Amino acid sequence: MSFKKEKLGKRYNKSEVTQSYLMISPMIIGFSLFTLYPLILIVKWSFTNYTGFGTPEFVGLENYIRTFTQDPNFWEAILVTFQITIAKLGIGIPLALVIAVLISTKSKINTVLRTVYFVPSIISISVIGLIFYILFEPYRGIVNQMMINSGMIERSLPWFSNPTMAKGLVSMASIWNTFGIDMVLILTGLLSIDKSIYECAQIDGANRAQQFFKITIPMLAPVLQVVVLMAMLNAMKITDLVLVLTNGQPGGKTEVVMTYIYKYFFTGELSAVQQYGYASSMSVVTAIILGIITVFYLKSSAKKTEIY
Amino acid sequence: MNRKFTLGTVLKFIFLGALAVIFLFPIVYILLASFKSNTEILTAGNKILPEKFVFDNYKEAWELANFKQYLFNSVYMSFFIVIGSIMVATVSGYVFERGNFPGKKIIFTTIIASMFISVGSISLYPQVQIAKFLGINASLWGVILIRIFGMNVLQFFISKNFVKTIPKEVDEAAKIDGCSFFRIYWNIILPLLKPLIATVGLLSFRLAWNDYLLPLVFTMGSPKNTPLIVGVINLKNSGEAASSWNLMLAGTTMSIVPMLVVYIVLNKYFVSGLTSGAVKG
Amino acid sequence: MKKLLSFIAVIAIATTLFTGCGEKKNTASNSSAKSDSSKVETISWWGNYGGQKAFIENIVKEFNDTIGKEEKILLEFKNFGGDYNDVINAAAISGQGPELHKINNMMAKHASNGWILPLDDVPGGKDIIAKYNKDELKSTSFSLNGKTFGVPMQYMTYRVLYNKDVFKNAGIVDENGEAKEPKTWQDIYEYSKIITDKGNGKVFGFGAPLKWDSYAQNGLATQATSATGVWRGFDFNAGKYNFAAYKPVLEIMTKMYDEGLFFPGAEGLNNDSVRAHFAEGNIGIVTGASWDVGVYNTQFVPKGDWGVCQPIYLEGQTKYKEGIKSEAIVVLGKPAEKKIDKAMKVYEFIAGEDFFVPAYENSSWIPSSDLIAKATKEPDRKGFEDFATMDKGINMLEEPTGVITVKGDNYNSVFVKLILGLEKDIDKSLSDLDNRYNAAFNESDLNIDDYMSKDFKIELE
Repeated sequence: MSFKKEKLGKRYNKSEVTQSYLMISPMIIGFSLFTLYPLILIVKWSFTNYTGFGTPEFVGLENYIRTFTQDPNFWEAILVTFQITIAKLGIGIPLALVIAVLISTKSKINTVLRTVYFVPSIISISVIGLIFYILFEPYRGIVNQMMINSGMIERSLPWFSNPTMAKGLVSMASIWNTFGIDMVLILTGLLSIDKSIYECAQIDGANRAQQFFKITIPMLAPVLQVVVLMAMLNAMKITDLVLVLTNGQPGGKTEVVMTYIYKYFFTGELSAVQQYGYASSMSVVTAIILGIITVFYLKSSAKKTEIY
Repeated sequence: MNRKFTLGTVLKFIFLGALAVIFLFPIVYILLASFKSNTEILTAGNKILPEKFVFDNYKEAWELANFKQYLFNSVYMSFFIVIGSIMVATVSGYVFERGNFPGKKIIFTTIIASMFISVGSISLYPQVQIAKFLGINASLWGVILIRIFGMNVLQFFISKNFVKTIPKEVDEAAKIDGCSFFRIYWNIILPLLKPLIATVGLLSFRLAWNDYLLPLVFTMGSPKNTPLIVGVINLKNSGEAASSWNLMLAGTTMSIVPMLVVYIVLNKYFVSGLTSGAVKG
Repeated sequence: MKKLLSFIAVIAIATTLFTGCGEKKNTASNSSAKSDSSKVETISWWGNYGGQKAFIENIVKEFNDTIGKEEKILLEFKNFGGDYNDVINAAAISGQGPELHKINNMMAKHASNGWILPLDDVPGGKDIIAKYNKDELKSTSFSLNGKTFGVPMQYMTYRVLYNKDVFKNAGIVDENGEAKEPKTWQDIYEYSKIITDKGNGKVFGFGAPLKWDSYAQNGLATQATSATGVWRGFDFNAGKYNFAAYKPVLEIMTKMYDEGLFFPGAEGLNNDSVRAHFAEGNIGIVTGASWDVGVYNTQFVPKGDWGVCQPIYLEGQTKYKEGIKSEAIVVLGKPAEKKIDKAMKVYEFIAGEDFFVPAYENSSWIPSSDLIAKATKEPDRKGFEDFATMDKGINMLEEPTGVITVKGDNYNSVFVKLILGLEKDIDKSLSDLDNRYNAAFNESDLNIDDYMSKDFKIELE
């Protein structure tokens, strides 16, 4: 104890500590109650055979063993999740970055464009599911019709029957839906860059491309780090969009990890038994995978953000 | 920046314009489809224009979703969530970036780790239990408090990173002048966070406006408190066993208007941040 | 160490508050007084009644103007959508639920949590139970651990529908020029082929919403009961699962998909789209259920004529009875305890003929045949009477699927994979299903006698 006190006295400023605690205590309490507590329940359930009612029995590691050894579908869903995430990040983030830089200056047309690009992110997911189905369906979908009319294809493309195309469609709809948010976040970051740096660079004779790679990207690094992290986590946790657009079809080939888990939490009309225990263990395993990826990502991107 | 039309500018606007068309196409489609009949929406996807404009969709949606009342509820709920979220995000961003206190790292790690488990509506039942214990389970205030203090990790994270970009010398100068830790936040840092406030405001408004399951559950006993999105999504179930997509699309179209207004207003704020809010290093 | 301590502190806050929550609950509910019969009391009724919403709203209004006035009851009805299960569970957890609610497939959950009241323990409940067939009440849709929570109020039937105009255009007609009704699964294949061949890429034989989570149950397995003698995979004579019985039907479906007789993009189709295309005359044959009548009469109204098939059999095979499912449309929620006399008045009204005879005449629900006999008007909606003709059917027990924990793919996923050709070995897939479902059934603590009956005669004489 005495050791601790001494350390406290040395490292911390007492009034700063008190004020810090006072300032964050409402959030910490709220966070513990409304966010942390449900998570603790999930961890607890993962060691039981809880079905949503009755008394859960402790089953040890049984659920985890089932996740690792008896459920290839879960790992296939993880793989699909990765594929969709990579497609989403690979296209969505560079696009959002380029657009944000192009429309960051103050002008009427940019104000309009900013609104245009943002609109898709305020449409509710169930409407997106319906509209993307209608646009791409093979019978009379307008996308297929336009491609046929322009001579690009002869027959309708099987957007929903071909697993690869179905995954592409999900990625596309997801980029369309979240692009505006990424763009706004990057715009916020751009605003925090001191304009005088660009002026200096212009005087030094740097061209636009050089300015973009030598100033914008490094200055934006802390923001980009967060944007990419969030986009990555959100892409890996994608649920509702898949449920309304493909619902895992064809034959589970577009089932992502969260929809797969979701179906064990809510078994719908087929069964009232919710396999809370098993679904929880899959949630925990997924969380660990996401955690490892995040730590790895933060470590490897840390160097780049130090530049500031 | 000079406004001469170089080849680069032309290419730039062609690119931006083409992208805008692609992005807007589904929106325009939704807008026009909201005038179609339910069957036409589902079976005549190749036609952009409705066979016959059905204005009744709007009339019916307006009445069934109780638009005037629900719109007020949504604005009321979103207003408090936005204000609260901005406070929570900026305070916690500041404290975790600048503050130095025991337990900081572990609390921070716990908050970050909570992002990895996605529980979606699983957290609904525990949240309802706790809200009941606190006596806030039967009003929109339950939703407001949960959404504010449940902490949105994304908003917290961008806030922390934004504070990071403010040079430390700013605080230190204030500290020497005798400002307390809280005073520095309130008098020095907060005014520098304008673009961040606009962003957090926008993000939290978007979430609050589209929030569905929690407000549905918290207002199930008192329908007059229902927010708009709950009403709009329920439009889907206003017919027989099949969904009434026509009403749902009309309702959606109407419900995005307020959201757009907020965005356009905040957008001005961004742009003003561009010239005045930039931090001098 | 310090880190650990602060972490524990955070968790402690959360857990102490939660345990506190449990203690407080009891004191609140016990203090309530018995209902006062002299002042008007509100009885709430919640559910997700898609097709019956309008009917209920009308009859509730009538009730409030008549019985409600006399008995000082104000009945308030609230309809929910797809999230109803979440809503009612959350309401039950927080003690905010209504006095009466729809239970769907959550009987076991609500009963074991004490969220619903057994009829045996409420005043007048025993008299209601006595009116119903004991064997029927035995089903786990109504009873649990010897207590009865609901009674069979309405019946659902599942049939195949065909678009007569599409049939005529494709030349599938009898000697009078009338569209030929499919009688076997082989007919369905043949007619689908003719329709698709003549459809020129515009009209297709068969519509299947494979995106729908429970298509295999509500759109295929249930309609195939008359061909297989198995109800949603379960054989009540043997008291075990027998998915292998679906092999011939699934083989026909697989062949149809393979030959392109399905409406295109079946993988992405939901039920709404299929019904809309059927109404537009783009699909010849679809499966359906009694609740679809409302949809085809008010939402997606077919331009031409359409019909409801008699139960479909397999050519040259034993014919079985069609499966009929009965359901309680409401149960008594725990909050009803406080106003039990008035809640029971409403319950008796809903379970009685003043409710269900008009429900039949309005094509909203199919009640028991005794009540159908009391109807003075024919049902007003096209197709409803066909669905309500149940002479070739048998009232099914509840299969255990809802209360067992099956590992691996559910049968919906397996059926869809077989149809799409993603699984090739049909025997292996179906026997694997049987093994897993039977293992889950055997491992559960369910009593096999509740799921087996030697007298259960499913063969059609």
